[in-house]
Amino acid sequence: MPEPLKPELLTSGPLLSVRDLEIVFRIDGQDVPVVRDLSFDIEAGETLGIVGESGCGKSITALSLLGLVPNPPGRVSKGQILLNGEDLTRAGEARLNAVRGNDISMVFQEPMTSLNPVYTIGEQIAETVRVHFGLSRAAAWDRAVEMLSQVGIPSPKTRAHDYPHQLSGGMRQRVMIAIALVCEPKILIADEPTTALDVTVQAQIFDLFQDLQERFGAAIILITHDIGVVAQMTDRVMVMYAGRKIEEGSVASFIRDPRHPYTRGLISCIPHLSLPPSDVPAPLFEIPGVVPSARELGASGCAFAPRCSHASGRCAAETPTLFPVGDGRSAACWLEVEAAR
Amino acid sequence: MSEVTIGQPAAAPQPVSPSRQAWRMFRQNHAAVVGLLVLLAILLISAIGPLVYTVPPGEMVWMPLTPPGRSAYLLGTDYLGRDLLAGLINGGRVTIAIGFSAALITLFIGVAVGALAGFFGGWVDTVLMRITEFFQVLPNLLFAMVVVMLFSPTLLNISIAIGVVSWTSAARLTRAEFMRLREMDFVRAERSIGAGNARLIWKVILPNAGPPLIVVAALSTGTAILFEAGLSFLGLSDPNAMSWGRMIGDNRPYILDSSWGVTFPGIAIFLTVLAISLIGDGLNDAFNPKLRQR
Repeated sequence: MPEPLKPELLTSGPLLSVRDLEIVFRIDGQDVPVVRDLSFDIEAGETLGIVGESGCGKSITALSLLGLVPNPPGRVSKGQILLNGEDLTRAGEARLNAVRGNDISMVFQEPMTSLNPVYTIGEQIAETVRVHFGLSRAAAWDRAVEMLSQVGIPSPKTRAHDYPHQLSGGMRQRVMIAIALVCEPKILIADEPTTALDVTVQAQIFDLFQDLQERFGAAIILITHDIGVVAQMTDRVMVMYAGRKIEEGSVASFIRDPRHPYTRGLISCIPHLSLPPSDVPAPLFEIPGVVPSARELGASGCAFAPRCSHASGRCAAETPTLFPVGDGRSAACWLEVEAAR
Repeated sequence: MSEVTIGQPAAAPQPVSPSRQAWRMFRQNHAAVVGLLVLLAILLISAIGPLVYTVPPGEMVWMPLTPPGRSAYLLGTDYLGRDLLAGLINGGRVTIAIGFSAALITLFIGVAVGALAGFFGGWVDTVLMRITEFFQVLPNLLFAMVVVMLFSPTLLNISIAIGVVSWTSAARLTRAEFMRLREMDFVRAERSIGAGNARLIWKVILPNAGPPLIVVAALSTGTAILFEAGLSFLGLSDPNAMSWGRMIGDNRPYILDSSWGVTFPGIAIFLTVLAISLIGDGLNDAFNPKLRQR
């Protein structure tokens, strides 16, 4: 464990708290919301999974935490993102640059193209520390080599002189993780970090995440659509659909007892490895239809209703709010409200 | 998780830096290597030639219009009896200095304008590109002549005039590269670890736009030398400095009596520009990823 670069923060309350977040994209002169009424907290050291299909607002939510919503056309139009009580939606660009990489950092989906091809990997890691801590060139380089060994790159001293094109995808993702963690951020956002990697490498990368979380104590926000990964990695899960949070709860309850019909659908979609007795592969389950685009959504009504087999008249007319369904869980579905009556 | 998960290969390939890789590719282009040798020879002659061959270039040393080989002055003399060889050796300094400094000014303006336009886009791009278009539609030679005539024809003013009329293509190229590169994943990744705009422009994107800009730099040096020759031919040269273009301009009225007066400086300009073009071609190969081997 290298020497700590910054003092421990002693604050009460959640590390990061998102309140009533709304993100809009300006399309043809109209503000189209892509994330609505989103609230969630993350405590120090925990792992939160955000799941949902493509296009449901996971990635844009992650980018908004870093103030990186592409503008134009997007912007955060409502709500607060509180990091230790400081509202990042009001922070200026200079303050955000100090937060990025230092308090919150992010690992992206594409390790093949996320490293700058003209610098060695050692230089790229060292540069990050230099920007945030103003270390000397030599000290930053030592720190980069140290970090490369922490993320399991063999012979880090020589490897630090490598250019990105000389590394495999898994190795590059390790370098990305090294860059993200070198300043010991309090929150690490991983946006589908293993989607571009093959399965064996995927397992190594997740081992690495868990290992580093124990060592550095960072909270991890893991964005994925792989339920298996969620079960293995996270403490708490948040399901998003069409820009809204529709269910939240502990990972065990999420797997064993999903409440929202969409969550049930997601879990049923996991293919099974075991062969059925008849030796005929079981048909793959799918949720009919696709995620509606933000523009198609009406002002009211459950966004999932058109694809839901349980939908009733109320679902089309009124938007369900998050309804507590016991032991810290909540789901946004009228069925739950009616069942509780 | 253990520190080492993958065995060290027996002979790990040595890391090859991009510049070393480029040099390997460059060496394979023989014409470019010849061009480089010619340019180095010209630079060497210009640098130490005046110290070795001490005949003053601006003074009458022999009978005017002496053909080459008829006197101690190897290449003969011009209409004022000045030694042509001394003129060539001394003029190379001025010509090359103007060529490089004009190319530097061209690149400086072009890269700054193109980088800002390409990186920020939107109204910044619109304004800067309209300015670029304005400079593009000006007749180059006329505009440069006006600049040189307004401000006296000193070496610096001539360089600036050439730079000011020829930066537009560098700007357009830089803009295109920036527009392509700013959307790349690594730029987003750098943003996510706290890189500000200035850092993104100069340290992240610009080095990636380097190869085509190096090629443009080489080619615009050649163009600038030709431009200087053109201006000198029209009489717009520094009266205190001998340059190849000025030699051609001075000897032009006597071309029928003494063809050597314009031929030798013409050959010098031709060789220099050809060498630079060949080098530019080689650099283009060297930085072309499609031709590159791992």
